[in-house]
Amino acid sequence: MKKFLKSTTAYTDMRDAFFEELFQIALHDHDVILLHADQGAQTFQKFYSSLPKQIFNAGVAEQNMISVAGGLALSGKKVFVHAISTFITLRCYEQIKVDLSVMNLPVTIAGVGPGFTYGADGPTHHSNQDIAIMRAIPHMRILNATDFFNLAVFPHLTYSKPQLTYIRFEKGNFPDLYSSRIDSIPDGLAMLKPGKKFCFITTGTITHKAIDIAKNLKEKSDLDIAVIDIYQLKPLNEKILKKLIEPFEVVFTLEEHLSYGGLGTIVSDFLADHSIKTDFLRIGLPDGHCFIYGDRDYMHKQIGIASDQVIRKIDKFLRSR
Amino acid sequence: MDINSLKQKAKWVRKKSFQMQIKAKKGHLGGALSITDILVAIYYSGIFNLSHKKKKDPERDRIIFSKGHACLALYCVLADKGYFPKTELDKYGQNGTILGGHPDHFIPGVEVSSGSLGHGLGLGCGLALSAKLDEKNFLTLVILGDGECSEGSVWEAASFAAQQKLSNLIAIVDNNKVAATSFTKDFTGNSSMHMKWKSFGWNTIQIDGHNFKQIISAFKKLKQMKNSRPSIIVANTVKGKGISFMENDYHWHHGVPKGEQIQLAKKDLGLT
Repeated sequence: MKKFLKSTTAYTDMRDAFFEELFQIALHDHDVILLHADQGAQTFQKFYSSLPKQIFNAGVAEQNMISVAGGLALSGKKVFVHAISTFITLRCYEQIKVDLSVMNLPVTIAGVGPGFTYGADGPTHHSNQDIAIMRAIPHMRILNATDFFNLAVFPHLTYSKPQLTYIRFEKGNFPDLYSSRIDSIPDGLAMLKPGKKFCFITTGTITHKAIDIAKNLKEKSDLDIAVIDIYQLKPLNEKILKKLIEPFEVVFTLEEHLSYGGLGTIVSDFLADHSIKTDFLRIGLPDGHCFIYGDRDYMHKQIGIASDQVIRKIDKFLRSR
Repeated sequence: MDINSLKQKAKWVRKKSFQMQIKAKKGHLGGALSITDILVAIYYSGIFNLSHKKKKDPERDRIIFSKGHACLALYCVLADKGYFPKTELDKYGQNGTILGGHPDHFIPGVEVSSGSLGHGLGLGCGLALSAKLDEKNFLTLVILGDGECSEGSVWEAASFAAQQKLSNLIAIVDNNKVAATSFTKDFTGNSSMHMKWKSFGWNTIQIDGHNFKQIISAFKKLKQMKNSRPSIIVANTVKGKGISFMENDYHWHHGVPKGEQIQLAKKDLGLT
Protein backbone atom coordinates (compact mmCIF):
# COMPACT_ATOMS: atom_id res chain seq x y z
CA MET A 1 0.00 0.00 0.00
CA LYS A 2 1.40 3.36 -0.99
CA LYS A 3 1.59 5.76 1.92
CA PHE A 4 0.72 9.43 1.68
CA LEU A 5 0.52 10.05 5.40
CA LYS A 6 1.36 13.50 6.61
CA SER A 7 2.91 14.68 9.85
CA THR A 8 0.98 14.39 13.07
CA THR A 9 0.05 18.04 13.09
CA ALA A 10 -1.25 18.19 9.53
CA TYR A 11 -4.90 17.54 10.30
CA THR A 12 -7.23 19.32 12.63
CA ASP A 13 -10.43 17.69 11.42
CA MET A 14 -11.23 14.04 10.75
CA ARG A 15 -12.86 14.92 7.44
CA ASP A 16 -9.66 16.51 6.19
CA ALA A 17 -7.67 13.41 7.13
CA PHE A 18 -9.91 11.35 4.88
CA PHE A 19 -10.40 13.72 1.98
CA GLU A 20 -6.85 15.07 1.88
CA GLU A 21 -5.56 11.51 1.55
CA LEU A 22 -8.21 10.81 -1.08
CA PHE A 23 -7.14 13.94 -2.93
CA GLN A 24 -3.55 12.70 -3.01
CA ILE A 25 -4.74 9.39 -4.46
CA ALA A 26 -6.98 11.17 -6.98
CA LEU A 27 -4.07 13.33 -8.16
CA HIS A 28 -2.30 10.14 -9.24
CA ASP A 29 -5.32 8.32 -10.66
CA HIS A 30 -7.86 10.21 -12.73
CA ASP A 31 -10.31 7.32 -12.54
CA VAL A 32 -10.91 8.21 -8.90
CA ILE A 33 -14.24 10.04 -8.68
CA LEU A 34 -15.79 11.70 -5.62
CA LEU A 35 -19.57 12.23 -5.52
CA HIS A 36 -21.17 14.11 -2.65
CA ALA A 37 -24.75 14.86 -1.72
CA ASP A 38 -24.31 18.59 -1.19
CA GLN A 39 -21.97 17.88 1.71
CA GLY A 40 -18.82 19.86 2.35
CA ALA A 41 -15.30 19.44 3.63
CA GLN A 42 -12.40 21.85 3.33
CA THR A 43 -10.54 19.62 0.87
CA PHE A 44 -13.41 19.71 -1.61
CA GLN A 45 -12.21 23.10 -2.80
CA LYS A 46 -8.92 21.49 -3.82
CA PHE A 47 -10.82 18.89 -5.81
CA TYR A 48 -12.94 21.55 -7.50
CA SER A 49 -9.96 23.72 -8.41
CA SER A 50 -7.42 21.01 -9.33
CA LEU A 51 -9.52 18.00 -10.32
CA PRO A 52 -12.86 19.40 -11.52
CA LYS A 53 -13.62 16.29 -13.57
CA GLN A 54 -13.24 14.09 -10.53
CA ILE A 55 -15.76 15.65 -8.14
CA PHE A 56 -19.51 16.04 -8.59
CA ASN A 57 -22.20 17.43 -6.36
CA ALA A 58 -25.06 14.97 -6.89
CA GLY A 59 -27.37 17.25 -4.92
CA VAL A 60 -29.67 16.31 -2.09
CA ALA A 61 -30.44 13.03 -3.79
CA GLU A 62 -28.63 10.17 -2.07
CA GLN A 63 -30.54 7.44 -3.89
CA ASN A 64 -29.49 8.71 -7.28
CA MET A 65 -25.95 9.34 -6.09
CA ILE A 66 -25.55 5.65 -5.22
CA SER A 67 -27.01 4.59 -8.58
CA VAL A 68 -24.72 6.99 -10.44
CA ALA A 69 -21.80 5.58 -8.46
CA GLY A 70 -22.85 2.12 -9.62
CA GLY A 71 -22.92 3.22 -13.26
CA LEU A 72 -19.50 4.86 -12.96
CA ALA A 73 -18.08 1.77 -11.26
CA LEU A 74 -19.43 -0.42 -14.08
CA SER A 75 -17.19 1.63 -16.37
CA GLY A 76 -14.16 1.04 -14.18
CA LYS A 77 -14.21 4.27 -12.18
CA LYS A 78 -13.03 4.11 -8.57
CA VAL A 79 -15.90 5.84 -6.89
CA PHE A 80 -16.15 7.42 -3.43
CA VAL A 81 -19.51 8.81 -2.31
CA HIS A 82 -20.04 11.10 0.65
CA ALA A 83 -22.92 12.38 2.77
CA ILE A 84 -24.07 12.33 6.40
CA SER A 85 -23.87 8.75 7.73
CA THR A 86 -27.53 8.20 8.41
CA PHE A 87 -28.62 9.64 5.04
CA ILE A 88 -26.11 7.72 2.96
CA THR A 89 -27.07 4.41 4.54
CA LEU A 90 -30.76 4.41 5.42
CA ARG A 91 -32.06 6.75 2.72
CA CYS A 92 -30.56 4.76 -0.12
CA TYR A 93 -30.40 1.31 1.40
CA GLU A 94 -31.99 -0.46 -1.55
CA GLN A 95 -29.73 1.33 -4.03
CA ILE A 96 -26.76 0.06 -2.01
CA LYS A 97 -28.17 -3.46 -2.16
CA VAL A 98 -29.30 -3.54 -5.80
CA ASP A 99 -26.96 -1.17 -7.60
CA LEU A 100 -23.77 -1.93 -5.69
CA SER A 101 -23.93 -5.17 -3.71
CA VAL A 102 -25.90 -7.33 -6.17
CA MET A 103 -23.33 -6.51 -8.86
CA ASN A 104 -20.47 -6.53 -6.31
CA LEU A 105 -19.18 -3.11 -7.34
CA PRO A 106 -16.26 -1.73 -5.29
CA VAL A 107 -17.70 1.68 -4.36
CA THR A 108 -16.59 3.36 -1.12
CA ILE A 109 -19.39 4.95 0.89
CA ALA A 110 -17.99 7.57 3.24
CA GLY A 111 -20.44 8.77 5.88
CA VAL A 112 -19.73 11.62 8.25
CA GLY A 113 -21.43 11.80 11.61
CA PRO A 114 -21.78 8.38 13.23
CA GLY A 115 -23.68 8.07 16.49
CA PHE A 116 -24.29 11.44 18.11
CA THR A 117 -21.88 13.55 16.03
CA TYR A 118 -24.93 15.63 15.14
CA GLY A 119 -26.41 15.10 18.58
CA ALA A 120 -28.12 18.45 18.94
CA ASP A 121 -29.75 18.10 15.53
CA GLY A 122 -32.21 15.51 16.72
CA PRO A 123 -32.99 11.89 15.84
CA THR A 124 -33.20 12.54 12.08
CA HIS A 125 -29.45 13.18 12.18
CA HIS A 126 -28.42 10.51 14.69
CA SER A 127 -26.71 7.54 13.11
CA ASN A 128 -27.31 4.75 15.57
CA GLN A 129 -28.41 1.86 13.36
CA ASP A 130 -26.14 2.24 10.35
CA ILE A 131 -23.74 -0.54 11.36
CA ALA A 132 -26.65 -2.92 11.88
CA ILE A 133 -28.07 -2.38 8.43
CA MET A 134 -24.82 -2.12 6.52
CA ARG A 135 -23.66 -5.33 8.09
CA ALA A 136 -26.63 -7.08 6.44
CA ILE A 137 -25.41 -6.08 2.96
CA PRO A 138 -23.44 -8.91 1.30
CA HIS A 139 -19.83 -8.07 0.28
CA MET A 140 -19.84 -4.96 2.49
CA ARG A 141 -16.64 -4.06 4.35
CA ILE A 142 -17.27 -1.73 7.32
CA LEU A 143 -14.60 0.60 8.68
CA ASN A 144 -15.14 2.86 11.69
CA ALA A 145 -12.52 5.53 12.37
CA THR A 146 -11.03 6.06 15.82
CA ASP A 147 -8.67 8.94 15.16
CA PHE A 148 -7.35 10.68 12.08
CA PHE A 149 -4.38 8.34 11.88
CA ASN A 150 -6.37 5.22 11.19
CA LEU A 151 -8.91 7.23 9.19
CA ALA A 152 -6.15 8.60 6.95
CA VAL A 153 -5.22 5.05 5.98
CA PHE A 154 -8.77 4.03 5.07
CA PRO A 155 -8.92 5.62 1.58
CA HIS A 156 -5.60 3.94 0.76
CA LEU A 157 -6.98 0.65 2.04
CA THR A 158 -10.13 0.80 -0.10
CA TYR A 159 -8.18 2.08 -3.12
CA SER A 160 -5.55 -0.65 -2.94
CA LYS A 161 -7.97 -3.44 -1.99
CA PRO A 162 -11.16 -2.54 -3.88
CA GLN A 163 -14.35 -3.82 -2.30
CA LEU A 164 -17.77 -2.37 -1.52
CA THR A 165 -17.02 -0.46 1.68
CA TYR A 166 -18.78 1.70 4.23
CA ILE A 167 -16.56 4.09 6.19
CA ARG A 168 -17.99 6.09 9.07
CA PHE A 169 -16.08 8.95 10.60
CA GLU A 170 -16.50 11.99 12.83
CA LYS A 171 -16.15 15.70 12.38
CA GLY A 172 -13.54 17.38 14.57
CA ASN A 173 -10.43 16.01 16.17
CA PHE A 174 -9.67 13.18 18.59
CA PRO A 175 -6.51 12.21 20.50
CA ASP A 176 -3.87 10.14 18.77
CA LEU A 177 -4.16 6.38 19.26
CA TYR A 178 -2.80 5.05 15.99
CA SER A 179 0.22 7.10 14.87
CA SER A 180 2.51 4.36 16.19
CA ARG A 181 0.36 1.58 14.74
CA ILE A 182 0.02 2.70 11.11
CA ASP A 183 1.61 -0.41 9.62
CA SER A 184 -0.76 -2.79 11.38
CA ILE A 185 -3.95 -0.93 10.43
CA PRO A 186 -4.88 -3.54 7.79
CA ASP A 187 -5.35 -5.94 10.76
CA GLY A 188 -8.71 -4.29 11.43
CA LEU A 189 -8.38 -4.19 15.21
CA ALA A 190 -5.85 -3.43 17.92
CA MET A 191 -5.40 -3.78 21.65
CA LEU A 192 -4.87 -0.22 22.79
CA LYS A 193 -4.52 -0.91 26.49
CA PRO A 194 -3.51 -4.20 28.11
CA GLY A 195 -5.39 -5.52 31.12
CA LYS A 196 -6.11 -8.50 33.33
CA LYS A 197 -9.23 -10.64 33.47
CA PHE A 198 -11.49 -7.94 31.99
CA CYS A 199 -11.70 -6.50 28.52
CA PHE A 200 -13.54 -3.69 26.77
CA ILE A 201 -14.22 -4.12 23.07
CA THR A 202 -15.12 -0.83 21.42
CA THR A 203 -15.43 0.81 18.03
CA GLY A 204 -15.23 4.38 16.77
CA THR A 205 -14.39 7.40 18.85
CA ILE A 206 -16.10 6.09 21.98
CA THR A 207 -12.90 4.05 22.27
CA HIS A 208 -11.32 7.15 23.80
CA LYS A 209 -13.91 7.04 26.56
CA ALA A 210 -13.29 3.33 27.13
CA ILE A 211 -9.58 4.02 27.60
CA ASP A 212 -10.30 6.84 30.04
CA ILE A 213 -12.65 4.59 32.04
CA ALA A 214 -10.12 1.76 32.08
CA LYS A 215 -7.31 4.04 33.25
CA ASN A 216 -9.54 5.60 35.86
CA LEU A 217 -10.58 2.21 37.23
CA LYS A 218 -7.00 1.01 37.39
CA GLU A 219 -6.04 4.03 39.44
CA LYS A 220 -8.98 3.84 41.81
CA SER A 221 -9.64 0.10 42.11
CA ASP A 222 -8.13 -3.29 41.43
CA LEU A 223 -9.88 -3.56 38.06
CA ASP A 224 -7.44 -3.63 35.18
CA ILE A 225 -9.55 -3.59 32.02
CA ALA A 226 -7.97 -4.06 28.60
CA VAL A 227 -9.28 -2.10 25.60
CA ILE A 228 -9.57 -3.60 22.12
CA ASP A 229 -10.70 -1.30 19.32
CA ILE A 230 -12.32 -2.94 16.29
CA TYR A 231 -12.18 -0.44 13.45
CA GLN A 232 -12.91 -2.98 10.75
CA LEU A 233 -16.24 -4.41 11.82
CA LYS A 234 -16.78 -6.49 8.70
CA PRO A 235 -15.16 -8.74 7.81
CA LEU A 236 -14.04 -9.27 11.37
CA ASN A 237 -10.45 -10.37 11.86
CA GLU A 238 -11.53 -13.38 13.89
CA LYS A 239 -8.09 -14.90 14.09
CA ILE A 240 -6.55 -11.93 15.88
CA LEU A 241 -9.63 -11.25 17.98
CA LYS A 242 -9.71 -14.83 19.20
CA LYS A 243 -6.09 -14.59 20.25
CA LEU A 244 -6.54 -11.20 21.92
CA ILE A 245 -9.57 -12.06 24.04
CA GLU A 246 -8.40 -15.52 25.07
CA PRO A 247 -6.93 -14.43 28.46
CA PHE A 248 -10.03 -12.54 29.60
CA GLU A 249 -12.82 -13.82 31.83
CA VAL A 250 -15.24 -10.99 31.12
CA VAL A 251 -15.87 -9.04 27.91
CA PHE A 252 -17.74 -5.74 27.78
CA THR A 253 -18.67 -4.05 24.52
CA LEU A 254 -19.14 -0.29 24.47
CA GLU A 255 -20.59 1.56 21.48
CA GLU A 256 -22.48 4.69 20.52
CA HIS A 257 -24.95 2.67 18.45
CA LEU A 258 -28.01 0.66 19.33
CA SER A 259 -26.86 -2.09 21.67
CA TYR A 260 -28.27 -4.62 19.22
CA GLY A 261 -27.21 -5.01 15.59
CA GLY A 262 -23.88 -3.23 15.97
CA LEU A 263 -20.64 -4.04 17.75
CA GLY A 264 -22.35 -5.88 20.62
CA THR A 265 -24.08 -8.22 18.21
CA ILE A 266 -20.97 -8.66 16.07
CA VAL A 267 -18.99 -9.72 19.16
CA SER A 268 -21.76 -11.96 20.51
CA ASP A 269 -22.03 -13.64 17.10
CA PHE A 270 -18.29 -14.14 17.15
CA LEU A 271 -18.36 -15.63 20.66
CA ALA A 272 -21.22 -17.98 19.70
CA ASP A 273 -19.65 -19.01 16.39
CA HIS A 274 -16.42 -19.97 18.13
CA SER A 275 -18.06 -21.49 21.24
CA ILE A 276 -16.12 -19.07 23.42
CA LYS A 277 -17.58 -19.20 26.89
CA THR A 278 -17.07 -15.90 28.64
CA ASP A 279 -19.15 -13.54 30.70
CA PHE A 280 -20.35 -10.84 28.36
CA LEU A 281 -22.12 -7.49 28.71
CA ARG A 282 -23.23 -5.22 25.87
CA ILE A 283 -23.30 -1.50 26.65
CA GLY A 284 -24.81 0.75 24.03
CA LEU A 285 -27.94 2.71 23.26
CA PRO A 286 -31.38 1.45 24.26
CA ASP A 287 -34.13 0.70 21.75
CA GLY A 288 -35.65 4.08 20.92
CA HIS A 289 -35.04 7.45 19.35
CA CYS A 290 -33.22 10.13 21.27
CA PHE A 291 -35.02 13.44 21.69
CA ILE A 292 -32.39 14.94 23.94
CA TYR A 293 -30.48 17.89 22.51
CA GLY A 294 -27.02 18.85 23.63
CA ASP A 295 -23.35 18.07 23.32
CA ARG A 296 -22.06 14.53 23.33
CA ASP A 297 -21.21 14.41 27.05
CA TYR A 298 -24.63 15.75 27.96
CA MET A 299 -26.36 13.23 25.71
CA HIS A 300 -24.31 10.34 27.07
CA LYS A 301 -25.30 11.35 30.58
CA GLN A 302 -28.98 11.55 29.72
CA ILE A 303 -29.01 8.28 27.84
CA GLY A 304 -26.99 6.31 30.40
CA ILE A 305 -23.53 5.86 28.88
CA ALA A 306 -21.58 8.60 30.68
CA SER A 307 -18.36 7.26 32.19
CA ASP A 308 -19.70 6.95 35.76
CA GLN A 309 -22.83 5.21 34.44
CA VAL A 310 -20.74 2.75 32.42
CA ILE A 311 -18.69 2.02 35.54
CA ARG A 312 -21.87 1.36 37.54
CA LYS A 313 -23.12 -1.03 34.83
CA ILE A 314 -19.81 -2.90 34.94
CA ASP A 315 -19.84 -3.02 38.72
CA LYS A 316 -23.42 -4.30 38.82
CA PHE A 317 -22.64 -6.95 36.21
CA LEU A 318 -19.53 -8.15 38.02
CA ARG A 319 -21.39 -8.37 41.31
CA SER A 320 -24.14 -10.41 39.68
CA ARG A 321 -21.74 -13.06 38.32
CA MET B 1 -33.50 -5.13 -41.26
CA ASP B 2 -36.52 -3.69 -43.13
CA ILE B 3 -39.80 -2.88 -41.43
CA ASN B 4 -41.59 -6.03 -42.58
CA SER B 5 -38.78 -8.17 -41.20
CA LEU B 6 -38.91 -6.24 -37.93
CA LYS B 7 -42.64 -6.92 -37.72
CA GLN B 8 -42.04 -10.64 -38.29
CA LYS B 9 -39.35 -10.67 -35.62
CA ALA B 10 -41.69 -8.94 -33.17
CA LYS B 11 -44.36 -11.55 -33.89
CA TRP B 12 -41.88 -14.29 -33.04
CA VAL B 13 -40.85 -12.52 -29.79
CA ARG B 14 -44.49 -12.26 -28.72
CA LYS B 15 -45.17 -15.91 -29.50
CA LYS B 16 -42.04 -17.09 -27.72
CA SER B 17 -42.66 -14.88 -24.68
CA PHE B 18 -46.16 -16.31 -24.39
CA GLN B 19 -44.91 -19.90 -24.74
CA MET B 20 -42.26 -19.32 -22.09
CA GLN B 21 -44.81 -17.88 -19.67
CA ILE B 22 -47.25 -20.73 -20.24
CA LYS B 23 -44.56 -23.36 -19.76
CA ALA B 24 -43.18 -21.74 -16.61
CA LYS B 25 -46.64 -20.76 -15.35
CA LYS B 26 -45.10 -17.43 -14.35
CA GLY B 27 -43.84 -14.20 -15.88
CA HIS B 28 -44.93 -10.65 -16.56
CA LEU B 29 -46.33 -11.01 -20.04
CA GLY B 30 -48.38 -7.78 -20.30
CA GLY B 31 -45.37 -5.45 -20.11
CA ALA B 32 -43.25 -7.78 -22.25
CA LEU B 33 -45.80 -7.49 -25.03
CA SER B 34 -45.91 -3.69 -24.78
CA ILE B 35 -42.11 -3.28 -25.02
CA THR B 36 -41.55 -5.91 -27.72
CA ASP B 37 -41.53 -3.65 -30.78
CA ILE B 38 -39.15 -1.17 -29.15
CA LEU B 39 -36.75 -3.95 -28.13
CA VAL B 40 -36.84 -5.42 -31.62
CA ALA B 41 -36.11 -2.00 -33.10
CA ILE B 42 -33.19 -1.45 -30.72
CA TYR B 43 -31.51 -4.78 -31.40
CA TYR B 44 -32.34 -5.42 -35.07
CA SER B 45 -32.48 -2.00 -36.75
CA GLY B 46 -28.70 -1.66 -36.88
CA ILE B 47 -28.86 1.86 -35.45
CA PHE B 48 -27.06 0.97 -32.24
CA ASN B 49 -23.64 -0.56 -31.70
CA LEU B 50 -24.79 -3.91 -30.30
CA SER B 51 -23.58 -7.41 -31.00
CA HIS B 52 -23.06 -10.55 -28.98
CA LYS B 53 -19.51 -10.49 -30.37
CA LYS B 54 -18.98 -7.08 -28.76
CA LYS B 55 -20.46 -7.73 -25.35
CA LYS B 56 -17.23 -6.60 -23.66
CA ASP B 57 -16.39 -3.89 -26.20
CA PRO B 58 -15.89 -0.62 -24.28
CA GLU B 59 -17.52 1.25 -27.19
CA ARG B 60 -20.69 -0.84 -27.29
CA ASP B 61 -23.93 0.99 -26.64
CA ARG B 62 -25.38 0.15 -23.21
CA ILE B 63 -28.96 -1.04 -22.85
CA ILE B 64 -30.30 -0.71 -19.31
CA PHE B 65 -33.53 -2.65 -18.99
CA SER B 66 -34.88 -0.86 -15.94
CA LYS B 67 -38.40 -2.34 -16.14
CA GLY B 68 -36.86 -5.73 -15.45
CA HIS B 69 -40.15 -7.55 -14.92
CA ALA B 70 -40.78 -7.41 -18.68
CA CYS B 71 -37.70 -9.57 -19.32
CA LEU B 72 -39.52 -12.30 -21.28
CA ALA B 73 -39.21 -10.17 -24.41
CA LEU B 74 -35.62 -9.19 -23.59
CA TYR B 75 -34.59 -12.83 -23.15
CA CYS B 76 -36.10 -13.75 -26.51
CA VAL B 77 -34.29 -10.93 -28.30
CA LEU B 78 -30.92 -11.64 -26.63
CA ALA B 79 -31.13 -15.37 -27.38
CA ASP B 80 -32.14 -14.73 -30.96
CA LYS B 81 -29.26 -12.30 -31.37
CA GLY B 82 -26.81 -14.96 -30.17
CA TYR B 83 -25.96 -13.70 -26.69
CA PHE B 84 -26.84 -17.12 -25.27
CA PRO B 85 -28.30 -20.34 -26.77
CA LYS B 86 -31.98 -20.29 -27.63
CA THR B 87 -32.38 -23.55 -25.72
CA GLU B 88 -32.04 -21.47 -22.53
CA LEU B 89 -35.42 -19.89 -23.31
CA ASP B 90 -37.16 -23.22 -22.80
CA LYS B 91 -35.59 -23.48 -19.34
CA TYR B 92 -37.07 -20.13 -18.22
CA GLY B 93 -38.78 -20.53 -14.87
CA GLN B 94 -37.36 -24.04 -14.36
CA ASN B 95 -35.09 -25.00 -11.48
CA GLY B 96 -31.49 -24.08 -12.25
CA THR B 97 -32.27 -21.74 -15.17
CA ILE B 98 -29.98 -18.78 -15.84
CA LEU B 99 -33.08 -16.75 -16.75
CA GLY B 100 -34.82 -15.56 -13.61
CA GLY B 101 -38.07 -13.65 -13.28
CA HIS B 102 -36.01 -10.47 -13.43
CA PRO B 103 -32.77 -10.10 -15.38
CA ASP B 104 -29.41 -10.31 -13.66
CA HIS B 105 -26.09 -8.88 -14.76
CA PHE B 106 -24.40 -12.22 -15.36
CA ILE B 107 -26.76 -13.09 -18.23
CA PRO B 108 -24.88 -12.41 -21.47
CA GLY B 109 -26.14 -9.14 -22.92
CA VAL B 110 -27.65 -7.89 -19.66
CA GLU B 111 -25.69 -4.86 -18.46
CA VAL B 112 -27.18 -4.47 -14.96
CA SER B 113 -29.41 -6.40 -12.62
CA SER B 114 -32.92 -5.00 -12.46
CA GLY B 115 -36.25 -5.89 -10.96
CA SER B 116 -36.74 -3.31 -8.26
CA LEU B 117 -38.00 -0.26 -10.12
CA GLY B 118 -36.41 3.17 -10.21
CA HIS B 119 -32.76 2.11 -10.38
CA GLY B 120 -31.95 2.00 -14.09
CA LEU B 121 -31.91 5.69 -14.91
CA GLY B 122 -29.40 6.53 -12.15
CA LEU B 123 -27.16 3.67 -13.25
CA GLY B 124 -27.53 4.91 -16.81
CA CYS B 125 -26.50 8.40 -15.68
CA GLY B 126 -23.31 6.92 -14.20
CA LEU B 127 -22.51 5.08 -17.43
CA ALA B 128 -23.24 8.16 -19.55
CA LEU B 129 -21.14 10.35 -17.26
CA SER B 130 -18.22 7.92 -17.49
CA ALA B 131 -18.45 8.03 -21.30
CA LYS B 132 -18.28 11.81 -21.21
CA LEU B 133 -15.32 11.82 -18.84
CA ASP B 134 -13.43 9.25 -20.92
CA GLU B 135 -14.47 10.85 -24.23
CA LYS B 136 -16.03 7.62 -25.41
CA ASN B 137 -18.77 7.62 -28.00
CA PHE B 138 -21.12 4.96 -26.70
CA LEU B 139 -24.76 5.74 -26.00
CA THR B 140 -26.67 4.60 -22.94
CA LEU B 141 -30.32 3.65 -23.46
CA VAL B 142 -32.55 3.16 -20.43
CA ILE B 143 -35.92 1.45 -20.79
CA LEU B 144 -38.42 2.56 -18.17
CA GLY B 145 -42.02 1.73 -17.43
CA ASP B 146 -44.60 4.47 -16.94
CA GLY B 147 -45.58 2.92 -13.59
CA GLU B 148 -41.90 2.98 -12.69
CA CYS B 149 -41.86 6.74 -13.22
CA SER B 150 -43.73 7.06 -9.92
CA GLU B 151 -40.44 6.27 -8.17
CA GLY B 152 -38.85 9.46 -6.84
CA SER B 153 -35.41 8.16 -7.75
CA VAL B 154 -36.35 8.40 -11.45
CA TRP B 155 -36.75 12.15 -11.05
CA GLU B 156 -33.56 12.51 -9.02
CA ALA B 157 -31.81 10.93 -11.99
CA ALA B 158 -33.77 13.03 -14.50
CA SER B 159 -32.56 16.16 -12.74
CA PHE B 160 -28.96 14.92 -12.53
CA ALA B 161 -28.84 13.97 -16.23
CA ALA B 162 -30.02 17.40 -17.33
CA GLN B 163 -27.67 19.20 -14.96
CA GLN B 164 -24.68 17.13 -16.14
CA LYS B 165 -25.68 17.64 -19.80
CA LEU B 166 -25.75 13.91 -20.51
CA SER B 167 -26.56 14.20 -24.20
CA ASN B 168 -25.33 10.62 -24.64
CA LEU B 169 -28.24 9.31 -22.55
CA ILE B 170 -31.54 8.25 -24.12
CA ALA B 171 -34.44 7.03 -22.02
CA ILE B 172 -37.51 5.32 -23.39
CA VAL B 173 -40.73 5.16 -21.41
CA ASP B 174 -42.94 2.20 -22.25
CA ASN B 175 -46.03 4.31 -21.67
CA ASN B 176 -48.62 1.53 -21.59
CA LYS B 177 -50.62 3.38 -18.92
CA VAL B 178 -51.34 0.20 -16.99
CA ALA B 179 -49.62 -0.92 -13.78
CA ALA B 180 -49.98 -4.07 -11.65
CA THR B 181 -53.32 -3.45 -9.97
CA SER B 182 -54.73 -0.37 -11.67
CA PHE B 183 -54.26 2.15 -14.44
CA THR B 184 -51.21 4.32 -13.88
CA LYS B 185 -53.32 7.49 -13.84
CA ASP B 186 -55.14 6.10 -10.80
CA PHE B 187 -52.06 6.81 -8.70
CA THR B 188 -50.31 9.53 -10.71
CA GLY B 189 -53.29 11.63 -11.76
CA ASN B 190 -53.72 12.85 -15.30
CA SER B 191 -50.38 14.61 -15.58
CA SER B 192 -48.62 14.48 -18.92
CA MET B 193 -45.62 12.13 -19.03
CA HIS B 194 -44.16 14.10 -21.90
CA MET B 195 -44.51 17.46 -20.13
CA LYS B 196 -42.90 16.15 -16.96
CA TRP B 197 -39.72 15.21 -18.82
CA LYS B 198 -39.77 18.41 -20.80
CA SER B 199 -39.95 20.44 -17.60
CA PHE B 200 -36.81 18.62 -16.38
CA GLY B 201 -34.91 19.93 -19.41
CA TRP B 202 -34.92 16.82 -21.61
CA ASN B 203 -35.39 16.55 -25.37
CA THR B 204 -38.71 14.75 -25.72
CA ILE B 205 -40.32 12.85 -28.56
CA GLN B 206 -43.73 11.18 -28.41
CA ILE B 207 -44.37 8.21 -30.64
CA ASP B 208 -46.60 5.22 -31.17
CA GLY B 209 -44.43 2.52 -29.58
CA HIS B 210 -45.81 -0.14 -31.91
CA ASN B 211 -45.05 1.74 -35.12
CA PHE B 212 -41.58 0.76 -36.35
CA LYS B 213 -41.36 3.71 -38.69
CA GLN B 214 -41.91 6.10 -35.79
CA ILE B 215 -39.61 4.19 -33.43
CA ILE B 216 -36.72 4.17 -35.91
CA SER B 217 -37.25 7.74 -36.93
CA ALA B 218 -37.10 8.77 -33.24
CA PHE B 219 -33.88 6.81 -32.68
CA LYS B 220 -32.23 8.38 -35.71
CA LYS B 221 -33.35 11.86 -34.76
CA LEU B 222 -32.06 11.54 -31.21
CA LYS B 223 -28.74 10.04 -32.29
CA GLN B 224 -28.17 13.11 -34.45
CA MET B 225 -29.37 15.60 -31.83
CA LYS B 226 -26.70 18.23 -31.37
CA ASN B 227 -27.76 19.93 -28.17
CA SER B 228 -26.44 19.05 -24.71
CA ARG B 229 -29.65 17.65 -23.27
CA PRO B 230 -30.50 14.06 -22.43
CA SER B 231 -33.36 12.71 -24.51
CA ILE B 232 -36.49 10.73 -23.87
CA ILE B 233 -38.91 8.89 -26.11
CA VAL B 234 -42.37 8.65 -24.62
CA ALA B 235 -43.60 5.57 -26.45
CA ASN B 236 -47.35 5.19 -26.22
CA THR B 237 -47.96 1.48 -26.11
CA VAL B 238 -50.60 -1.08 -25.25
CA LYS B 239 -50.08 -3.41 -22.33
CA GLY B 240 -50.70 -6.97 -23.50
CA LYS B 241 -50.33 -5.91 -27.16
CA GLY B 242 -51.12 -8.74 -29.54
CA ILE B 243 -53.38 -10.80 -27.30
CA SER B 244 -56.80 -9.19 -27.56
CA PHE B 245 -58.22 -10.04 -24.13
CA MET B 246 -55.02 -8.90 -22.40
CA GLU B 247 -54.82 -5.48 -24.02
CA ASN B 248 -55.15 -2.55 -21.58
CA ASP B 249 -56.11 -4.85 -18.73
CA TYR B 250 -53.99 -4.72 -15.58
CA HIS B 251 -54.90 -8.28 -14.67
CA TRP B 252 -52.34 -9.36 -17.24
CA HIS B 253 -49.46 -7.53 -15.61
CA HIS B 254 -48.39 -10.92 -14.32
CA GLY B 255 -51.51 -13.00 -14.90
CA VAL B 256 -51.00 -16.37 -16.59
CA PRO B 257 -53.71 -17.51 -19.06
CA LYS B 258 -55.50 -20.75 -18.36
CA GLY B 259 -57.79 -23.13 -20.25
CA GLU B 260 -59.75 -21.41 -22.97
CA GLN B 261 -57.68 -18.24 -22.57
CA ILE B 262 -54.64 -20.15 -23.82
CA GLN B 263 -56.46 -21.13 -26.99
CA LEU B 264 -57.66 -17.56 -27.54
CA ALA B 265 -54.15 -16.21 -27.07
CA LYS B 266 -52.71 -18.78 -29.45
CA LYS B 267 -55.24 -17.77 -32.07
CA ASP B 268 -54.34 -14.08 -31.66
CA LEU B 269 -50.63 -14.84 -31.91
CA GLY B 270 -51.01 -17.10 -34.93
CA LEU B 271 -49.94 -20.19 -33.06
CA THR B 272 -52.84 -22.33 -34.25
